[in-house]
Amino acid sequence: MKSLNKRVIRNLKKSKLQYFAIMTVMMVGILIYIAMNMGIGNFENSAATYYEKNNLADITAEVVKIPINSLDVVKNIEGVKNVEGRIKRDVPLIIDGTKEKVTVRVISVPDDMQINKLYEIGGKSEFNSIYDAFVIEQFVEGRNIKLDDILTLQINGKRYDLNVVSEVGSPEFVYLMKDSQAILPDFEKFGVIYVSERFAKDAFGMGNSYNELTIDLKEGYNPEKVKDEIEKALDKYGVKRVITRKDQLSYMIVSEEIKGGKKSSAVLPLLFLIVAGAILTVMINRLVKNDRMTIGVLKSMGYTNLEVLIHYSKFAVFIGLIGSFAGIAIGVSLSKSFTKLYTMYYKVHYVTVKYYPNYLIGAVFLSLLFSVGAGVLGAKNSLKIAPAESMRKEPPKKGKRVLFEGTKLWNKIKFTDKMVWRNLMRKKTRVLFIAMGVAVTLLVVVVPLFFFGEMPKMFTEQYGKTLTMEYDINFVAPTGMESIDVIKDNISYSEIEPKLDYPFEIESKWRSKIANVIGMKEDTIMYHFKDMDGKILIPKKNFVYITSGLAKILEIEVGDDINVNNYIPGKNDIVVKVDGIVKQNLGSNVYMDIDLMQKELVDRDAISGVYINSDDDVKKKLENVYNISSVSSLSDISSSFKEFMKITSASISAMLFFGFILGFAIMYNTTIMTINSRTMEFSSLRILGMSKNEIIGMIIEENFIISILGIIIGIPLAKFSSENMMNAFSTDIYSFSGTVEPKSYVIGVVITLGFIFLAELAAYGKIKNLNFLDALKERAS
Amino acid sequence: MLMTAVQTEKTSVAIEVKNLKKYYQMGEVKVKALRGSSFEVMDGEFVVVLGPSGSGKSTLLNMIGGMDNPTDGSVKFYNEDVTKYTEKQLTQYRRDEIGFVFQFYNLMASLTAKENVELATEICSNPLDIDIIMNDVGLSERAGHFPSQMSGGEQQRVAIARAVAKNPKILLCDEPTGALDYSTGKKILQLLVDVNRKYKKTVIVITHNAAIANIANKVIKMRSGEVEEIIENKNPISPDRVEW
Repeated sequence: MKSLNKRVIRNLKKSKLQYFAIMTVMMVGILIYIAMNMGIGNFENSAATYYEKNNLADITAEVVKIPINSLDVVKNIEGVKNVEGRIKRDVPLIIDGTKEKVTVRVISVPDDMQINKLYEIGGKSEFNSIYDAFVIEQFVEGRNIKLDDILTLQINGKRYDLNVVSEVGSPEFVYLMKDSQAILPDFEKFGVIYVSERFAKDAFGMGNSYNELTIDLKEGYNPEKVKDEIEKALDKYGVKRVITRKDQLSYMIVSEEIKGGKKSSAVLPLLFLIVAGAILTVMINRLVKNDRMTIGVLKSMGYTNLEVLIHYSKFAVFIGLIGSFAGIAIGVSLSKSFTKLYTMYYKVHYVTVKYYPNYLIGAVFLSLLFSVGAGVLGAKNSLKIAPAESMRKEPPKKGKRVLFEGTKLWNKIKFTDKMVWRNLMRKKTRVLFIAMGVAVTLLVVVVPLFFFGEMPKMFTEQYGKTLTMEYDINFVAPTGMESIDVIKDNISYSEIEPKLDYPFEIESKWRSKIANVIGMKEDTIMYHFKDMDGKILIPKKNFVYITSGLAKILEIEVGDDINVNNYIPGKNDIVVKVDGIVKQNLGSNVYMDIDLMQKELVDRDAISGVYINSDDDVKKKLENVYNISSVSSLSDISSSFKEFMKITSASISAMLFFGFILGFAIMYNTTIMTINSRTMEFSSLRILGMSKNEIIGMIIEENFIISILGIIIGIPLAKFSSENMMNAFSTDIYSFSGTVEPKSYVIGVVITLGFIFLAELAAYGKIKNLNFLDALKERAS
Repeated sequence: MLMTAVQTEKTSVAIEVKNLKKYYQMGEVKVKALRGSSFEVMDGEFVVVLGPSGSGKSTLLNMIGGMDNPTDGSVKFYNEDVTKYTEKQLTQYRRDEIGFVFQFYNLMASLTAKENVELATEICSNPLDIDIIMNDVGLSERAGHFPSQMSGGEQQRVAIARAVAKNPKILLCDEPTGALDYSTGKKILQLLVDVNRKYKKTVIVITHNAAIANIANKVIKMRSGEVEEIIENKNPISPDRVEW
């Protein structure tokens, strides 16, 4: 090995904790890059494999009724490869002895199922009896269902006992949610049961008809175009909605998750690599300054500028490569767990864990880019050192007065404080550099705190301020206004309001999207709408409001006309004017005067549920009302949200840990660099009679002032980043729109200062053992 | 018997310095380090450049060693004008033709004695055998030691070995005994004389110590950036006999 390379390795060993800290930051950056990209890549591939093997429908069409022998109207459309009919309906599951309202989606299984094929987990693969049922895995887990258990369904007023013969997965319900109105999945309260076609026909009285078609397209056909043709063809069968795969709820949520993950995996590693690169640059720069004489000696021996530059860059490259390989090793093994976690949470089968060479090469490339960049940037000053000049002592810096010098305040402060301030003012670039590091640490801490704080706010804003009903009751199917009387007869209440909730295609210019239109009374007291500026909106007769997320997607503004495309037989599409944009973070809806909705879109008197405010035991008293599919109370939603927040807090902890690594690496290295570069100065102070603790005090004071500056820079930076990330992570289902609360900044600052304190503590041990006086005798480097 | 400097026959001029001037800025001060110096150093000569602090000795040495460019004048190395060299040529010149020995040794702390020598030989075209050199400087037993484990004299021996191992034509020594005690200093001077004799190297030593001048073939006295006097010494004495 060349002598200079030996020098690199030995000097790295000498300052191992310093380099280890940077290496860790580099490693974390690469680790996140590998683990997230590979984890998400594997998840995406696994999901794609699952969709492909089990043939997830390209298009799903809900109709009122279509005879079995009429499926050809769809099959004959150009681009359609295969069509399967099924019967699908949500019904209550009867749980004797409890007041629980559980809804199951009953779906018939065709004899030779080719589309949305089920994934067998355990049990039988066929129905031996018409009362046999396959149960979706999430529901099996949620309710602890076992094979041979009996599930009692209430269908059209009759009880049916079904025997659980198999546990299955479905590509259609990778993420199982009742509908897009549900903010979170609840596997205890909603499940899917697959039954034989014969059972479904008999129980639902569908005769030889289906109410849903699953459609497989030939390759190369645009689903959106075929969808239009299908809509036309199904018009006479009472088409309710036709959705392409990309709008299918489970598929959409998984896609959004992948999209969000990809965004994070692009931003987070860069943040760490930039910080690692920046610290490395400062360190190498400092090393070059300290090695001024060494560089002169090397040049006197005939080493070229390039050789010297490469020598010093090797420090950075070595750290970069070690960090990269460690990051790759840990990242690759973490990516497996990451993929497993994803596929378990989203119930994706056919898990394929692959190692992507492009990410491995990318990781090495990124670490080399940042380390070589840091090395060259940091060591470039070595080129400027003329050999003869380096043999002379560095001339003292020009002694300028600092900003406050000469003022009364300046004259009052201690001598050591004056030294601290002079030093800070004379090394502005270095100070700014470190302050930026502190700012980034604060950012890494505040952003997750913001999201963690924002989610409960979004929740309480929606459930408590916008929606103030205590109970949300849904009927099995739209029914008449008389159903309200049934409820009124069973419970005591303070308020009761009808609602009509139905999906329609909302179209504006060339954009369209299927969204639930919710009809409510013009004088509703259950909804409290606010516009984007937070002003209260008072609904007028025939009002039409649209939620902010949907308005953004469809680019709709107040006063715009929108088409509500209606597939209900005998009803026409309507054009309505948007009276207001409603600020809503969870879900995308159109809110409409129920009278207008009933008259123009559905049926006079039709309602799909009621909102109730009541102190009564609503759940218990309504458990025998046959046409109710679900009764959800605010407390139910609140407890499932708390569960969700528990999961989220794990990722917040991970982010805080990353913040700690950043803060520690920055401050520890800064402190050690300060000591190393100023040993002569400190030694002189020691000779003048200053104690070690006084010198340490000066260093801490300097770092503290820089930290405060970093925090001042970090606060707007964190605000800016939070707001940008808020936009980046907003989806169709939820959108963030808050601002960072002062509390988040306060906690962020306290945590950041805590990290810095720990770094100072680690550096303190090293400073304590330093013999400053030896530095005066030091002649070797 | 201890060796004295080579009794040179004036065959060829190794270094010819003509009207050399060097002015530079140090902080806020303009330094006139050399104000027009001229002299010649013959091949194989042992030369002492003598002068007090600030007389321009080190600057002169840097000019001869291709470490710095003059403001005016020329330095010829075997008739080639070094001052006209490009950066690349200067590097090559330092690499192959010049060996430096510094007052404070300037060894790499994290390299052993032998590795410090290797550092120099790894890049030059015609190096000498390191083991022989280490033996000649009396350090074969200490080759694996780090500078921090060695005395000042030993460290300076390593620095001399480092300079010699490159097999340069000229050895430039900047106050080589300046940081050493009397007895160690004399030993180092003897080593330099030995190198001059055994390896036929032209040696230029700069010092403020007038006693050392007696060991040289030629003494160039400097004051305030100018050559004050050049003394040819027909009978250089052995370093052993030098007293200060």
